[in-house]
Amino acid sequence: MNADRFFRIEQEGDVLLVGLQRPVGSLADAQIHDEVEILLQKVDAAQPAAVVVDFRHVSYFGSMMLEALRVLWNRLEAHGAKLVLCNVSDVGREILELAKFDTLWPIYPSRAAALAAVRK
Amino acid sequence: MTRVLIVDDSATDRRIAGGLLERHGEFELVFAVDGRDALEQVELHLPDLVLTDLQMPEMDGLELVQAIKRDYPLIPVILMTAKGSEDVAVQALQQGAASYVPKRLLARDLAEIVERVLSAASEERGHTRLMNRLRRNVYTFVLENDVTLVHSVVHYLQDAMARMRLCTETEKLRVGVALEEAIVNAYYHGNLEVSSSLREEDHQAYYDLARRRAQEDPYRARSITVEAQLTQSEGVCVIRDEGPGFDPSSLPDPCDPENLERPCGRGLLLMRTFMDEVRYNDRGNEVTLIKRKAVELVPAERPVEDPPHEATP
Repeated sequence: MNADRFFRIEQEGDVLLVGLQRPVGSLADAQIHDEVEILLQKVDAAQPAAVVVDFRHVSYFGSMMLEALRVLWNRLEAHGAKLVLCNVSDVGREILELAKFDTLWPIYPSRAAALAAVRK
Repeated sequence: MTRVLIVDDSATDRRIAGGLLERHGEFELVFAVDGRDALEQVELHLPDLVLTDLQMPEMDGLELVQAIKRDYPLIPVILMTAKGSEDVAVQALQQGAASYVPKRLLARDLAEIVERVLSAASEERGHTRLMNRLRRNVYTFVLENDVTLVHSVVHYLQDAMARMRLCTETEKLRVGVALEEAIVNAYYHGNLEVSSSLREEDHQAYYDLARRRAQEDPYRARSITVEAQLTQSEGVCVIRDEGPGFDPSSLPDPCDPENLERPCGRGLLLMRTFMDEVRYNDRGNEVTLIKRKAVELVPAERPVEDPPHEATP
């Protein structure tokens, strides 16, 4: 099974970089649940200081992605880690703002800016 | 005569590309030295095709592709790629470039690729002209309870609405989000009867129950009906499941800070925000989403008559 169909996970020091590979519209594919679980396991194992979610390849997403981010954030909070987002499209930002999640997770224009912010 | 705009900061490469095209057909050539110059030339001498280098000063090939796709969506762009520009080429293709030809293979491949792209563009123009004359389109899909079809039907309707010029590219994304939320709600909450409150308690249990019910009667036999009627003024999509229905007013307001961490109601919020009208039937198993055409969009057909021009190789 292709384990990184939705999320490509890389580790850079004490930061986990999660690159979204395709639109996670809603629950349009059962595999996303499995990948969220894999991501949570990696968070538990790596105990990162922060997770950067990079939306560069994704022009939009729906409530499933919001829910996945919320679950990830809850897990990170338990570890005292940060969650930040980067390369969010205009529509993606609109969706985050609608759900008021922009008040919870900082959004940066690029991966470099996000990494610099979490390492401050 | 077919007019081709060749864009390259290297005079030699411009001459090579131009010479190869002239050798293979009747082309009227226009030249530009970078993306900015190219946009001026497009304004002055509307081309049938743009052939562009990627790495250029001022405005590069990627930015040029983005500008042309935004302002002149029917003009195809072919990239001339060099070693080291592969990543940018992939981005440009994702942004809408029609094809590419490596510079080292120009002599062998350019004429054939130009021919092929022009032929496809001609078909596309004809199709767009025809779609401009379409007055009403009605679709009915009956989806067995298979979540993998959701993305396909949403894509199909997004494209159909865009073809009818009911939405801009950005609105197309918003419409896609709304439709996907509605169909996924019909699948999970409607036909499979799994509730958001279970997801609130244990999201894995929620997905496990959904998977199990997708294989069990009566849930697995239920289907989702998606009906869409598109006219030049609005798109009306009706999504109906075969579950017992629900009361949308029972959902918590997801914007209330109290509910920020609850997984309920966000889908409906997205639907209501991205469509002009959303309403449920009394039973709560059918939702109607309406998208109305707001403003005149980018012209689908560019003027045919162009001013005379001078070529500057």
